[in-house]
Amino acid sequence: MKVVLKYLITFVLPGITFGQVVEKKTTWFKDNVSIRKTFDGSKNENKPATFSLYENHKSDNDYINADVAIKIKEWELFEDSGTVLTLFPVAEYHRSTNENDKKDKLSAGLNTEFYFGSKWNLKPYLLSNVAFKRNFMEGINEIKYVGQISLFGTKPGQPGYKWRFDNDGADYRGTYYPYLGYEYNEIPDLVTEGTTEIMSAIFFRVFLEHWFSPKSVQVTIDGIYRNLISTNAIKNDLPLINIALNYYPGNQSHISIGLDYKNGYDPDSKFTHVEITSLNLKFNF
Amino acid sequence: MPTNKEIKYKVQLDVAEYASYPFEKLKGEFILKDSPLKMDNPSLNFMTLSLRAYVKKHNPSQTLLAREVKKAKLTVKLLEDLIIKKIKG
Repeated sequence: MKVVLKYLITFVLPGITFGQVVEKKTTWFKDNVSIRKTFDGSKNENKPATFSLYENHKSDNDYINADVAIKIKEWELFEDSGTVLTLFPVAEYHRSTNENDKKDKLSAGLNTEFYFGSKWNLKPYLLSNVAFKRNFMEGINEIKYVGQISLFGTKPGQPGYKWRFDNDGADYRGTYYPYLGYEYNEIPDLVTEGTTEIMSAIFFRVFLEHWFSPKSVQVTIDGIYRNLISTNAIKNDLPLINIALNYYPGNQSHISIGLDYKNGYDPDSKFTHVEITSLNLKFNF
Repeated sequence: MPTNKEIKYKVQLDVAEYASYPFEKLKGEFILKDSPLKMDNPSLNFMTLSLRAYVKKHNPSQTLLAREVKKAKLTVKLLEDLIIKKIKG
C-alpha cells in the first residue's frame, strides 16, 4: 500500500497537475494567440502564416519568403452597450531574399474592430490597423495606417453569408466580404531616392473563400483596386489580385500546402508591378 | 423569465442564423469555430450583440462578452449553458 501511495505521490499526481497546467496553457494559447500571414486590418480573412518558394516569371530570380504575424491578446470595451469594440496588439515579421526586393521588416501595431448596427439587415463593421515598421535592410522606420468598412448579413447572397455543401453535415463551403477603405503609408525611396514619401489611397476590395471539398481543397481570391490620393509620380490606379489554391492534408485545418498567384501593384514591393507564382507551406492557429 | 428550454431554443436559433446553418441539423456538440459551423469573427461578434440584448432583457445586471463567445472550444451546448447561467444565475 505504501509503495502504491509513494508511486502515486511521486509520479501520478505531478503528472496530473502537469497535464492540467499544459491543458490550461493550451486553452489559453488557443483563446488568446493567433498566428497568420498578416493582421493588416482584415483579420477575419483566413491568411495563414507562410514560408514560400517563389518563381518570378519576369526574371530568373527565384527566392525564399517568410511572412509571420502574431496576435497575443484582445481587450474589449463598451461591454454593456449594443456595440463590440475590440483592441489588440500585433507583431509581424516579413523576410524575403528576392534580389529585386530584399525584405527584412519587423513591425508592431495596434488593430481595432468595431461592430455596430446589429439590428440592421446589413450590419456594418469597421477595421483599422496602425503599424510602425523597422526596415532592417535599409535601416529606416516606416508608418502605415489602414481603415476599412465592411458589411455582414445572414441572408443568401449577402456578404458574410456562408454557402454550404448539400450533405448531411452541411459543411462550410465559402463566403465573401467586400471592403471600402483608406490607407496611408510613409515609404522611403518610393519615387525619389533618399526621401520618405507619403502614399495614401482609397481602395475597394473583395475577398472570397470557397472549398471544393469539405476541409481539404480551398481557393481564396483577394482582389483590391487602389486609387491614389497623394500626388506623386507613380500610377494612380493600382489593382492587385491574389489567387491561392490550398490543400489541407489529413483531417486538420492548421497546416496547408498552397499555390499562390499574384498579379498587380504590390504594396510589399513598393507598389511596383509584379507577377509571381509561389509554392507555400502555410500554417494558422 | 424564460424557461431553460426557451433559452436553448433562442441560442440555437441565433447560431443557425449567424452561421447560415440549417436549424434542424444543428447539434449541441458542434464547436462554433470549427467545421461544420466555421463561424468567423463578424458572425461571432454580431451573434454576441444579439444574445447580449437577450440576456439584458431578462437580467439587466448581466452582459455577454465577445471574448466569451469567441473561445476556441465553445460548443453550442456550452453557449446554451452560459446564457442560462447569465439569465438565471
